[in-house]
Amino acid sequence: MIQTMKFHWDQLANNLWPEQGTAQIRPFYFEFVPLDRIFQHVYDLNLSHEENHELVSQIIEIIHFEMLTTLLDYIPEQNHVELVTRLHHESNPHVLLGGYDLSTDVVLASLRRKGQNLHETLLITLINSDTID
Amino acid sequence: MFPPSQENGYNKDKQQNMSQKVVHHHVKKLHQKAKETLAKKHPKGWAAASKKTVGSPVDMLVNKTGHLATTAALAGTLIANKSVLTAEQLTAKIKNQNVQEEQQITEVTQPQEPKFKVLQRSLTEFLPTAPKKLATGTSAIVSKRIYSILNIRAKTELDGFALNTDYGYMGAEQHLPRFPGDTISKHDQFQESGITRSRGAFGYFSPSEAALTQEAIMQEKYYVVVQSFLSPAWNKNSHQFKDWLKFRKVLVVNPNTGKAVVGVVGDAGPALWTGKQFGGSPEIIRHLNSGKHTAKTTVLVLFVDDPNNEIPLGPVGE
Repeated sequence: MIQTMKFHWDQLANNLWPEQGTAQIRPFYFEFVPLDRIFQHVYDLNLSHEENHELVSQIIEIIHFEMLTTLLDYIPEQNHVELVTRLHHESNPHVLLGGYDLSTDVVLASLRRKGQNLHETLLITLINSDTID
Repeated sequence: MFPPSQENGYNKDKQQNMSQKVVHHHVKKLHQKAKETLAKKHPKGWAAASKKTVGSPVDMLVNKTGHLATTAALAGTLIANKSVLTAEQLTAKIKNQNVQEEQQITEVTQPQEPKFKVLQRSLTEFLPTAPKKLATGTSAIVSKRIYSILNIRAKTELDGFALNTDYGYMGAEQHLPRFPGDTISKHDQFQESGITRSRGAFGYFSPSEAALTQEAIMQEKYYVVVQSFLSPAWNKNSHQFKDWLKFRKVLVVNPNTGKAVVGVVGDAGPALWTGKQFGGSPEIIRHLNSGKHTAKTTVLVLFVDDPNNEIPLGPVGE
């Protein structure tokens, strides 16, 4: 168990770590998708180093793309590039979205719902292939 | 999580490889769809999000202080920053994480409240409101949750056989004659429900009154009616399916109450026009509805994987 955990840690640290000097943060909406159970199921699959990295990366990207799509639905198109850049430097959604003509609470509620659905979808996808034995 | 399988190592490996492939396939499809949706709906946002100079989306999840969502999820909050932990620190943190996990598992497997209440809460949070055949992924979750709470392996499909549905409405049935010449006065409970004129589709539970066993009595008390004739296996080989189905052990759960009972398949029906997919003995119907007689009960019906016949018939999770 401990060895496997260390393996996952090393693997993720080696492969997902950003280049030195980048000052980027993960987008705030990742808070709305609880990852514990998702990655517990990934862990249960006993994948190889490479397969594990690929699967974890894809899951993270699915969450990123899906949540970003929902967020951008509320933002004027001319601000999309700017917002995507700011996403990686501002963790407070109220500060991030405060300058746009929208209700931050409405956007956050929508992202929470999206996060819940996404969480359930990913869990079902992973459990679907998980055998009872 | 589950007891060791009876299968040999080769088959387990093979099964796991299959699981891994299926997961990769489905996740890849979700990934592709997420990418396409973003690119199609918000091309400028997609261009910015996928720009090489910014880094791949995976890279962008990590800040310079080292908070890594995926790692935190995998190993608890193992690491707060990028500074390297010593082997001892890492081991201690992981041990602590394991203790916490074990405590959580204990809480799940040894609930303080009645099991049927845990089951009710656990199932209703994700089951569709209107009964319908469950998606494969959902039925797998149902099986896992039932196992963790009741310690019963219950599955939609067993030995390659499945019913037309696993989640539907159950009608209230009469008693069935257990042997030729059986009458309602010989049944000890719920005589007001009456008794059918003819035996069930799978025959009498006992060849005669003299040969009536306690097991046969329990089988009639907790018999279930299923639409065997609508099941996919019926068209392929009805004789084989009927033999397999006869007095087959099933778990019936009313997700609205959490009440569950282990019974056997004792008859075929109900007719399609009734709008119900299952039938239940007077004892089953009362138990599922906390003592009330109800004409239409929402139920999950799953085959019980009990090759050594170790699980007794009757209510479970009380």
